[in-house]
Amino acid sequence: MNYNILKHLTLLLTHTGLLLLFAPFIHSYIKKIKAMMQGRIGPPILQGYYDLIKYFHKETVASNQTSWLFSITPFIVFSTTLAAGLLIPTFTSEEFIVSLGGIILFIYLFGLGRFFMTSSACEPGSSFCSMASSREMMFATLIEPVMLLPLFVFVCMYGTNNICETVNQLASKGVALYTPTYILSIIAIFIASLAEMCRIPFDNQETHYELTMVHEGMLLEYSGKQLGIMFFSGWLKQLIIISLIANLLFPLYTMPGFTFASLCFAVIIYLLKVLIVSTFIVFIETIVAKVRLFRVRDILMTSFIMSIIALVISVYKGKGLGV
Amino acid sequence: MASLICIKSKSLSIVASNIFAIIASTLSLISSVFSLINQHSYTLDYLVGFPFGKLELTIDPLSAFFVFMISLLVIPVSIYSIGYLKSEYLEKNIGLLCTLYHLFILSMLFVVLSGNGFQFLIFWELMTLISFAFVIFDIKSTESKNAGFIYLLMTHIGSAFLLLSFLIFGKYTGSFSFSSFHEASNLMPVSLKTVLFLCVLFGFGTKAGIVPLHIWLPQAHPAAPSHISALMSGVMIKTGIYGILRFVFDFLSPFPSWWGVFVVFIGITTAVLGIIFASSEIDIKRILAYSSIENIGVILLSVGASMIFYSFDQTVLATIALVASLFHSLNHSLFKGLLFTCAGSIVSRTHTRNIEKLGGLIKFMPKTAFLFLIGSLAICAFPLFNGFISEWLTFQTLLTLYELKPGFIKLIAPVVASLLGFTSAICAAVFVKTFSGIFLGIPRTHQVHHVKEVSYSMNLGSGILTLLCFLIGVIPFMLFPLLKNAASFIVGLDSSSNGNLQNLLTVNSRFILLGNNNFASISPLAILIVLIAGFFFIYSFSKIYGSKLPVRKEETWSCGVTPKAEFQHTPTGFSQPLKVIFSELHTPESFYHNYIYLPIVNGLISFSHKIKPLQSGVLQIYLLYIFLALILSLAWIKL
Repeated sequence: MNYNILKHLTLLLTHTGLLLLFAPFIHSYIKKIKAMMQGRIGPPILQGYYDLIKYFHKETVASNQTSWLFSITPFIVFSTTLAAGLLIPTFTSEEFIVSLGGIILFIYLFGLGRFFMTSSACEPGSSFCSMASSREMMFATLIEPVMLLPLFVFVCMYGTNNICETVNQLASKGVALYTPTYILSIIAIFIASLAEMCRIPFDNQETHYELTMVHEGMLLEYSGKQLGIMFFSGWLKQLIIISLIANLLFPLYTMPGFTFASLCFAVIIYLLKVLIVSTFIVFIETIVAKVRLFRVRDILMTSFIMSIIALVISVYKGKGLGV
Repeated sequence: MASLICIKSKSLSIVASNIFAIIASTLSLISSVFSLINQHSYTLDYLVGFPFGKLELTIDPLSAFFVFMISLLVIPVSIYSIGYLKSEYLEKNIGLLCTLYHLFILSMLFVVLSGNGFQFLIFWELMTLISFAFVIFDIKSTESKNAGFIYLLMTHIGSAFLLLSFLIFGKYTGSFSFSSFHEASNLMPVSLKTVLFLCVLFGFGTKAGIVPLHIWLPQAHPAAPSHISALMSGVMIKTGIYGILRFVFDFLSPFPSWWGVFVVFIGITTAVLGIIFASSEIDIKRILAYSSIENIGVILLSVGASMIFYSFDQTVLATIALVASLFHSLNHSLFKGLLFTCAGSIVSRTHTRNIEKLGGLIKFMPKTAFLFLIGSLAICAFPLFNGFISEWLTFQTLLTLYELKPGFIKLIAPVVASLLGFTSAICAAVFVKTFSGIFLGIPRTHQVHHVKEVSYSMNLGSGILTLLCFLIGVIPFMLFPLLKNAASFIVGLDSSSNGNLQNLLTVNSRFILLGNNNFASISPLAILIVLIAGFFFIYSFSKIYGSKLPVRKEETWSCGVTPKAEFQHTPTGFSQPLKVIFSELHTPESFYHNYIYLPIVNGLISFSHKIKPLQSGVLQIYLLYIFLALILSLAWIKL
């Protein structure tokens, strides 16, 4: 077989496999570390996998009001999330599928999954599900521009729409990378990502009270395998976003040559980066309280304004504002 | 005009007239495609049969593209209306309705084909009047009458501005022919051009529905029959875009760059406000009308970007931006046609446009539900459907504005692009609300339980539109030669730099590439393959692994009581959080009425009151006026 095709196939399979295998681990890791920070013992580090196995062996019960849409939604949410996962760099920033799409596709694939998830939540006719779905849509309208603007700042600065290419360019800069524009944009992306991942201060994943649930609330009527797939897609999305932040924040890795050793090395570096970012997220979650629903707008607006400042700095850098 | 002949047999006349419409539009579709591919311009003169001179029809790539768009939508809508008219309008004056339908299509075609300013205005007015007739077709309802009045009023104010600009053109060139308008641009001073530009933008903007001139649109579109709403929203408002393109690029170029910035600003305002208004509506056709306003904003964004590029002599980039706007016009006509036809199906079965009274229709009208779902996905610009490709191109053109020198343009480019993302996120919220309100959950009223699926031809009409939305979303490459020819004609890109365009916008059977060093690229087919692969991976995995028990159906959990329809969120409740967080932007219609239109009207009335004493009715005073006028005019001549 052609060496190049073999190489790309190996990279693609490793990439997809890593995302799929590692997603439940990161979820449990975050839970565990958070419990430890709060002085609890917490669930075992492999709890995510146990949960998935449990869900897959349970019987699926669905509401009698539901239709085909409700039962295909988990599959659609999973496939859109996985497709979004193919657009971002993990342990290597080489592109796997040539020109699948860029940042806009990345955001819109999440949007497609969200459309199905929120629609299906309205299917059983439960007040909790439809309320959660309405709130999720409200978050989405705020998250999307706030997520897009800092990414667009990168697009404009580095002249490419491709996330892998952006990370490559960031990597080539070395220490000169840490400009004010870069730092502000990264903070903006991080804030928007917390909301996208349904984390505190925007949404609490561990709440057991239906009225405060947003993301979890939409899954109330799911059970068994369908619930398992929905949870898994959520964890996958979390890992994808963490990987994106990790690679934008530490674009310092290379894969010299294509050998087994270099592959292993790159994967280990990648996992380390992901763990660092996850630990940081736990830190934020521990010290910050969940905000009131309608205060979410203010936090996200702060992030939006931060990226506007980043943009102004990058445009008028060294020119003075009189231009 | 088959419908005139067979007025006697109503159902026969429906079938016959619509088949004639289909045949005619297929012919015009074919001819427009040919003229787009060959890039020829023809002028046809008919010396006889038209008042005030000869009938001058010009087909060039720009008008051919709009003919293509109109014909492409008319075919499925005509198929749809066979079933729709039979179920809805059988006891009304079918012959009149069918004749008007034909005349409406014909007037739209003649508007984009006119090669002469005078004729253009006549057909423009004809188009307005016929659509006015449709708006008031249901003459008994006061709602229709009000809608018709506002529609007529607004479009006539718009037309007055158009007439003004045509007269100024006519004064400078001595002729009403478009070819002479084209040469006039060199003669005029920049200040006059700016006045003309604003007149044209105002005049055509009223038709296109830019905020704050949009107030007629959400009233007129719901009042018309649904197949007409599909045409009005799908193609009629696009004639406004045609007018803006024709005037700005053909007659008024070259122009300063702030015109483009102004259009971008209007575009983003229209897009954001249009969709925020849609979010709190509960009338299905009003939601669609407001979302048309949003899409006009999106189209204007790339028109504005193209104007900015054009004024900086970046004709290749200007062409790409115009490809985006023409493509979005076409796509909007398809998915909006689809949604309006589906809305027509729903209204004809349930007899209500209020989505708060619906719910659970997916079980009673499964085909319509599926078609509406695809339409919603396309209008929210999700991947795999046509809206995504054109919105993606719009995003890219906005981001490419960053390449230009001025800092201000560099600054607005990403901000406007992210606001475009904001509009499409709200659009998703609006259509989740609409789709789930109509089709999902427990039926909110009893009449929903007796609803049946609509007739075959109605679903076929919407089905063709659905298929087109999907095909264009997956293989948009087929359309690019047409779009590129039309766009490069408008900005006057010569064939020598066509190779340059090839480099920037590489389209082949696999993907679209944009920019010199791979600025952006997308591969719709690969997205489809990846999504299908992911879907089947998890589907087969869940079939093979784990529990093999079938899905058990149980009652929805609602804290131990029997679930009722009232427990669900209403569509109003669904959009309430949006209304709260965007309360500053969320201005109701009365805002425009009270703060923009009313002051103008009051001002006019008080002005008339002030000049009323002039008309005292005393003969001597009138004689004095005549005398004064005589002296003044003599003095004028002397000077």
